[in-house]
Amino acid sequence: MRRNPNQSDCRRVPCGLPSGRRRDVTEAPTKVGELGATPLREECQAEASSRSAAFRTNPNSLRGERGENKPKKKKKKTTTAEWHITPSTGRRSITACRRTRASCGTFFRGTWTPFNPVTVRSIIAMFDRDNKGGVNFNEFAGVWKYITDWQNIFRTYDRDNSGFIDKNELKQALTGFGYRLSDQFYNTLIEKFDRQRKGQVAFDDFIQCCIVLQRLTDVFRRYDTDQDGWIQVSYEQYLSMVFNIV
Amino acid sequence: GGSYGPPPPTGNVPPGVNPEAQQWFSTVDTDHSGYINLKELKQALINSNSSAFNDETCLMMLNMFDKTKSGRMDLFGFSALWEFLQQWRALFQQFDRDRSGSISSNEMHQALSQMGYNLSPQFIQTLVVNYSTRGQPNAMQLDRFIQVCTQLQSMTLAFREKDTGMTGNVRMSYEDFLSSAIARLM
Repeated sequence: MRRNPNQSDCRRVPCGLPSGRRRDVTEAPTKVGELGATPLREECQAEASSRSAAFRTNPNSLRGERGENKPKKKKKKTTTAEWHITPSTGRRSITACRRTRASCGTFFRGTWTPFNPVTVRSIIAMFDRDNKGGVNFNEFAGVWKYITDWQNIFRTYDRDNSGFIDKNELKQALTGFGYRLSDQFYNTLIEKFDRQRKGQVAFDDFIQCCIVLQRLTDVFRRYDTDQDGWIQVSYEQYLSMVFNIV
Repeated sequence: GGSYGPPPPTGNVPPGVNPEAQQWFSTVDTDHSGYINLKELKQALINSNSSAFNDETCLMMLNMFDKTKSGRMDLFGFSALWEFLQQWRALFQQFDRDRSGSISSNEMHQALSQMGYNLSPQFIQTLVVNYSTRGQPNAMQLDRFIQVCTQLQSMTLAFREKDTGMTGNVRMSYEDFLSSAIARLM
């Protein structure tokens, strides 16, 4: 089965998927590792300067003193324009990030676990137009809609409203999007995206799963020029393909 | 008297645990749960420019050393991570020839060829640019260095499994490609 994929495998455009505003999920980045690294830089530096000098003297070591990294609770008035959500570690962004997570947490039914930080970053990066490492208020509206769209999709498949979907429900969902994948592959997916080790996939991990699948499918499609479901790639091409994603 | 009593519980290092790692464990385990979770790990690790380790690298390392698949590490997992980090840090410092605290694409090129990778300068440059600090496109910090090298290792293995004839080229189906990438996603 795996060696003989249905012709339509990777060409069927998954339909009805929420899409980001700036960088649509169907439009994979073209540069190596583009998704991997870019956001969050300024926040890191801002945070760096705010940290005690003790770190600077011994920069590479684990942070020693307990509680040192606890940001001082300084309420900073932010105007709408400068308000950012970032998945990084800067002070302002931690608060903002918690806000996102808290909002996203409401989508869960009974599981108040933090939103997968990698999912948060993937989504932020999609809507962060000028690569500033966060989203402003207007962009946040897009983020919000995107997550709400996903929530609606998720609810369709999460029949018992448990906040989790099992393998069969995942299969139904992805088949609904147009993917044709083997049973064995669904096991791989469950194993990889079941962060909470419940044998099921939570809402945030479901989004992450769909984002990754779509990016991989897009990059595959770019190399599968004759559209037969097979590609021939060199070592470096292969690395470029997967470094786009991971 | 009293010298025949049992040794004090502190200072007992379980077999297979790095004593230095054990000392750090209680400091990093800020909630005293006996386990290190993602948040605690992230709080504990910093780069030479004092930025915190990024989420992906922390998550990747947590997954690597969380043998119970519970999203957290016990002392043994932490000890293994400790040694893993020490090794990468030593390599990082060794390849950071100009002692800038970061790896440039030239330095990365030397590092990767010394590790046995045969990659074009263009590929390496793109890699470094994409994993560099914002505003400094030619400076990769320790966390990204670990992330990139670990993933290169893993993806090279994935490619090699498919490249049975050792030709440097593979033919793979859509699902082969998905599986190879996703199974090795960390």
